[in-house]
Amino acid sequence: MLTGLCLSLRVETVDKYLTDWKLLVILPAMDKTPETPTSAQAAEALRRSRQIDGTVRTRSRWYRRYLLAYAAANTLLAAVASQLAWGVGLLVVVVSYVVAAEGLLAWSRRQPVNRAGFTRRNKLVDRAMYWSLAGFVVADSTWQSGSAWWVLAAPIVALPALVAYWREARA
Amino acid sequence: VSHPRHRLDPVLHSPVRFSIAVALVAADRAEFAFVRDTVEVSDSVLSRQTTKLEAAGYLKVTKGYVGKRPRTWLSLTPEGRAAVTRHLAALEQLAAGVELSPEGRATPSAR
Repeated sequence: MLTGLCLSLRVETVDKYLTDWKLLVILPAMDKTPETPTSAQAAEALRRSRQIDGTVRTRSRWYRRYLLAYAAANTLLAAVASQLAWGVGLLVVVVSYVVAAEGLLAWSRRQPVNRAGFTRRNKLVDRAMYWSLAGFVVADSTWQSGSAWWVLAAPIVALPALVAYWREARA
Repeated sequence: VSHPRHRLDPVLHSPVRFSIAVALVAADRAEFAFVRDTVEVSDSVLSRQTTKLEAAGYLKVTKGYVGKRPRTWLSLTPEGRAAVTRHLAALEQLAAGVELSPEGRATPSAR
């Protein structure tokens, strides 16, 4: 037991000196003021930053698919609403819109990265899509046209998402 | 003071912290795992460096759930975004070949 105690004390002492020795080597290195990068190092850092930026942009492309799906869903809802009677049409549109919007929102939350400005832009698109569809439903019920006017009007309800898609594709 | 090296941010001088900040400057927010894979570091290294960036006021860590899975989201604060922009501008100048003259003034190096 005594031998064991002596041995553990020795190990502790060695370990302590070893730690002190490591600190003597590491601390001055940490304390050193960072050197100014050379032109080549700065260029390399910039190259790396562009590479990372490219990866983020590529992984943010899901938003384009999101916008296309949103545009398609709104067009489809407008088409369905124009074919149904006022009360039924409204109910179908409201329920379907909530399901589609919530589904898309849930999908967007699962994405690993959102591009800079996503939250603000998506809020705008969301509002514009909601009001364009609401406007379509009100106009359809007011004029009771029932004819092929919706073929012209339906793409308009998809316009906010399509404009956002175009801007995303250009960015 | 005119030399671009004075505009280099000491917090972003570390290559790993610089890479994390650059990944986040292009994003509103990014998942911890995505940043880890993009920057090519381990969980512990990323965790340590995000703590330093958070302490500098450059980064915000948000914890939440996607379904039942816990997720950690990283995003840059406005100060962090400004610091990265300044740091990148200084690097651009250094890469363009700004060297110190014997008097200590910044001058574009002869190419």
